Amino acid sequence: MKIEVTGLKKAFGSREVLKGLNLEIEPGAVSGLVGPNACGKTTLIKCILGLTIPDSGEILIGGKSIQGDWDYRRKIGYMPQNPNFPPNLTFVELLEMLEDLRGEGRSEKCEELVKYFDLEDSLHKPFSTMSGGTKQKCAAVAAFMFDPEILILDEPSVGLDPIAAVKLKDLILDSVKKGKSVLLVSHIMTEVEQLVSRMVFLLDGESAFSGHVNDLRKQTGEDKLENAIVKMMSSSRGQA
Amino acid sequence: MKQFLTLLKYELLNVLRGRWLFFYTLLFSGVSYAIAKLGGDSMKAALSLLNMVLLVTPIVSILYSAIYWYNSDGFTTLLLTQPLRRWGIFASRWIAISLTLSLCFVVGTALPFVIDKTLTGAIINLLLMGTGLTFAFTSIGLLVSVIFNDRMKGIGAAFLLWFYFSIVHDGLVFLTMVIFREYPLEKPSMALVASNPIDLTRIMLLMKFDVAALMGYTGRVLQRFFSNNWGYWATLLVLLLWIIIPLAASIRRFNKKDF
Repeated sequence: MKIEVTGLKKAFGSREVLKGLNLEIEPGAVSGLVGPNACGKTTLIKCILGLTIPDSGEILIGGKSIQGDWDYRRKIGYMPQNPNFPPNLTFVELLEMLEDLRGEGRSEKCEELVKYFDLEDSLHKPFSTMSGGTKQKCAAVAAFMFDPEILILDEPSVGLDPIAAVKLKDLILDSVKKGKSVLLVSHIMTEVEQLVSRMVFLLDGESAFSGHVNDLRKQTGEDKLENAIVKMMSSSRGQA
Repeated sequence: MKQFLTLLKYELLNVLRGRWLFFYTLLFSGVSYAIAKLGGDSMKAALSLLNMVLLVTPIVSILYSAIYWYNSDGFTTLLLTQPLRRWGIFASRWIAISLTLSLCFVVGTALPFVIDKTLTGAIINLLLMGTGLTFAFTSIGLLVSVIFNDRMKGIGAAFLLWFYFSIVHDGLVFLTMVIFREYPLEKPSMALVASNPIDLTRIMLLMKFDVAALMGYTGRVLQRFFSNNWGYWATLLVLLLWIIIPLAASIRRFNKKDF
């Protein structure tokens, strides 16, 4: 499912974070959202999720505007950087809550994902007793369990052990094969290199580059994606 | 509606498992037990409990709701990313906190009197007003939390508001009465009482307990107002406004808030 962003503006007080941003996230690909700190990545994600309300501009998901809508979030799975679940609820209660709230019946994929991430022993534990890595795995289950059309992953492998990180990577690639749109924010360059086929480079609230990673390589004259991104960031700093 | 009830169920589960609510219940049951065992009639028992209810329920409600709000920051974000209406998320949380705190207060206070078979109309009136205060101060606590993004500022503001309603307001009323003692103050004093839910509850209960004679001329004026049915319902309506207005303002703010 395609995400189209046109003329998106958002300011917090006098600080303009998004300055008329235009971009498209294509289905069937992992789109990497990169850029220097405070360039507007998180604000863009929050606008798509409806957590932050834009000042102007439009976001279309599957050709439909999300303004004033709330049901479109059914199509999105979100994995935050630092998941913070209700401390007194257990993991199984959270999963049941998400299923009940969506009203789509039991998720068949849920049980499969719990096993996939070796979380059977954590099902009846309250979140207050879980480690950061376990919570991150729980967040992965919550994001993928409804097989959503769009996945928004904000630094998804931070805190995960190497086995879980590889499993998550495989899960992302599998989703892409099924034609899902994946928007990935990551500062781990190896992860970006392995997963991303399209790139959105944000700079100072605007899109400085949006396209295939090969085009970015050509534009910067660097073969390695990591070097291409670094070059892009350095040249942007030079311009600034 | 089904979705709202589901949300409410899980918010209630989360709130009810908070360990220190048990101590809140225990505090009230301990004090009630002591008062019930000390003897005397139920009116005296209700009067003894009154000051504690007026002091403790507002501060616990306002601070608990603010702290709960800031601690649930991640949970709020998680819910906001689900296909849910924003007002439903907020309203379910408000109901869960208010109901749980009220339940702890009512069970804790009433249980010793029920066991002692001395639960009378005076105590029931006190329980009703304490519940009203719990709902009002939960609304105020959540409003403050929605306004301030910074946890320390929010909790500080909640505490200051409680301090104002519990202590400063009375001082200002007294000062006004002294400065304008030459003027008829019956109507302004009614307005001043209505502008503070704690005062409103205190005076209404004192009038119900028939101890207005202790409060001089103003007490007699207020008794005339509160003792008739119209006055009683008007007071309940004002207390209801103290619940609804902050709640409506919070929902309005929450609907437009950036996370």
